[in-house]
Formats: sequence, structure tokens, C-alpha cells
Amino acid sequence: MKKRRTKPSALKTYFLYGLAITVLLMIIVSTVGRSHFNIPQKFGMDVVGKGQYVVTRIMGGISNVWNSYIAVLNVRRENQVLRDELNRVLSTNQEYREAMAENMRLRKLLQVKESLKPPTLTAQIIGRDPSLWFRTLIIDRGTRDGIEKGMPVVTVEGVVGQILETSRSTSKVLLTHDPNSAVNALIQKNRVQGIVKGEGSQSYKMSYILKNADVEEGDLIITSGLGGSFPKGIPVGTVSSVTKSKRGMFQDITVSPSVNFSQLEYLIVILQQDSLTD
Amino acid sequence: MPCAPFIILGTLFLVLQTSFLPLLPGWIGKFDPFFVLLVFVIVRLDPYRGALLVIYFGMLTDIFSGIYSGLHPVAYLSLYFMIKLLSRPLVLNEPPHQIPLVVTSYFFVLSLTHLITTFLAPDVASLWNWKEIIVRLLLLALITMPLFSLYDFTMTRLSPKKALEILIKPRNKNRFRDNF
Repeated sequence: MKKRRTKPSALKTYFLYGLAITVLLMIIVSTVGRSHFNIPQKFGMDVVGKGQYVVTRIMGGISNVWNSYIAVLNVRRENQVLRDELNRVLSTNQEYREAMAENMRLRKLLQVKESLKPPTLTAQIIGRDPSLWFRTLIIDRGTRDGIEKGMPVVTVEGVVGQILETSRSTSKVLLTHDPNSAVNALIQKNRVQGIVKGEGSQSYKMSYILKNADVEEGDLIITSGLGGSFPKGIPVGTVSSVTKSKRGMFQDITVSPSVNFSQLEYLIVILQQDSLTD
Repeated sequence: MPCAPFIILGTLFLVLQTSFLPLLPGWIGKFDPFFVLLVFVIVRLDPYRGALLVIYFGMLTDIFSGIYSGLHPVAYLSLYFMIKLLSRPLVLNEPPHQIPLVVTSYFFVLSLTHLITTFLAPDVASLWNWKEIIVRLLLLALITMPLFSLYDFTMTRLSPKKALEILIKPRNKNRFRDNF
């Protein structure tokens, strides 16, 4: 009986598949259960982060030049519009000053102590997640600036997300409208608590609000401070729709985010300690 | 064929796709030259370098996209094996196959990553959006042939010997004999 010899090309193929499968298994085994980036990943994040920073700066420069050009073309018309707007703003500002003075008086009357806000840090967005399934951002601040995993990220308008991963000079932010994100929140008017979850689109879902709770369109949702991730009182959004189905204990509440995620440029990271447990 | 130019090109594309392209309005910012490069690397490069680059690209994508470490290397390596298996009965290296190959591969990777993420977090809302997926597939179909030509040009410029091989290689020989 003639014994068939294994061809060198077949051996090469087996070797290749063996090697690739080994690497695949190594990746899977090293990844499962790991909640932090390893050193090569952190290094990669730093290196590519520099590239993203340069491209963002260049694009910012080009955008500024273009905006200046457009501004010069429209300067006369805009000047008039701005004058009118300034008058309106001055009038509104006067009202706000009055409201602020009243607020201060009421605070003194109630002897409410203002809690000290934790230190904050401004960060610029240098990268956005291109995938369809995730909503994350890369910012130009990292561990050298004091950023840690789990720190809350906000803007003047409200909650934006949480720090997910950090390297020395950059960090990854998990946005609040990512389906994997959840924030403890409450309805401002009646203090009913629930959990706001991302849906991937420009809306949230607020869960665990009982049917007997008084919720209406336009109600403001703020962070509850529970869980320690976010400080209390930061705006999350406003109720855009309320549905009470026949079955179940809870209402279906859709929340419109207070932040426009497509127009984010600069973010504020709240440098609070022990913001998230691993 | 050295890997370095493709490593640089891939990194550059990823930087552009995460910083510059998202700033463009509407569908213009949804081009994915990085993925075309990934398929090109699997199809054109020799198996060893191809596999190494696929792992590198997967790990790089992992850093800047998604929340699960190891997701993209697994997805890209699965694509690598799928293409290598398909290249036995089919001649995927030929130009007429480029567009269907890239489009199918993209859909395969999208489906696989969606499946894995759904498996890892079953209670989160699904983001499957046919409109968005079709737009991306159409854009990929649009850029595949020009980009393949560009990558071929880059490869032949870097390796004249390889270029000669491609040009001289007879097309009518038995393709089922020389796998890989």
C-alpha cells in the first residue's frame, strides 16, 4: 500500500491555521473578564490619540478660517441682527439678575448651605466611534490630568457620559445614549426615582417609574446622585412621551436628552473620587 | 511585501475615520476605507502577514471603537478564515469579485459584532438599523474598486517583483490546486 506524503503547502496551511487559532484563543482568554486596557492598548490609544488631536486641530483651524470668511461676507447683516439680539439679551439678563438676587435671598432665608462642587476639567473631543453599535468618544485628557475610570462627563446643558477607559493622555467616554449606559435619575417635580437608559438614538428610556406616579411631557429629569457615579441635580433631559400600557407595573417614558450629542465639542470632566467601582 | 506601509495606512485611515470623517455632514462621513484595506490585506497579502495585520487592525479598532476588548480581533479573524475558506472554491482575487466580497464581508462583520454584543449584553436595546447599514454598504461598493486599485498600486510600487508576478501569472491554470 502506497503511503501518501503530506505536501509542504498543506503543512504550511495547517501551521498557519494553528498559529491563528492560538492567537485567537490567546486574545479571547486575555480579554474575558478584563475591565482595563493592557499596556499595548494604552500605548496604541496614546499614539493614535496624538494623530486624532492633530487632525482635529487642523480641522478646527480650517473651520475657523472658513467661518471668519463667511463672517466677513455677512458682517453688515449680522451686525444689525446682533444689535437687536444684544438688546433682547440685555433685557433678559436684567430679569435673570433679579431672579438670581431673589434666589440668593431665599437661600439665606432657608439657610441652605451650598455644597462644594468637586474640581472639574475641560476636555476637547478628538475622536468619535465610527461603529454602528456603540456610542463613545475620545477626549484629549488622560491619567496625567487626573482622570480615572468612571468619572462623570457633562456639559453646561447636562449629562454626557462616563469615562470608560484611560491612557496617559487620552480617555474614552461612554455616552449616555449608548444602550450599555444607565444613569440613576429622578423627576424633578415629584422626586420619583428611576433609571435612564440609552437607546442609541437621540432619546433615552426612563425605567421603573410606577403607573401611579404623576409624569407629564416636559417634566425635567435630573441625576439622583444615587450610586455615586453622578453628582445630584445635573439635567439629563425632558420627558417627551409617556405611555401607560395595560400590562405591567411601570410606565413607558421616553426622555429627550438635554445635550445634543452630534454637536459636542468641549466637555467637562468632574474629577470626583471613587466615582465607579470596578 | 513589508507590512509597515499597510500598518501606517491602516492607522492613518482609522485616525481620519474617528476624527475627520465624523465632522462631515450626512452620508459623506460614513465612508470606510479602513475596512476595504482590511479585506485587501486578507485577499492580497500572503497568509502570515495577512493574519498578523488583521490582528493588529482588530486590536487598533478595539481601542477606538466599542466597549468590549477583543471584539474586533475576533470579528476580523473570523472574516479572515471565512475569506480564506471561500478562496478555495472561488477566485476572490479577481476584480469582478471585489465589490461583492467587500460588501458581504462588511455585512458579515457587522452581523457578527452585533451578535456578540447582543450575547454579552442581552438586556440592552438593539441598534440594528437597515437604512444606516444599506447606506454604508452602498458607500463601500462605491469606493471598493478605486481603493483596491490604489492599494494594488501601493503594493506594486513597493514590490516590483510581486507586480511582475501578478502581470505574468497565467489566468487559465487550475485554480483549485494552489490554495493560499
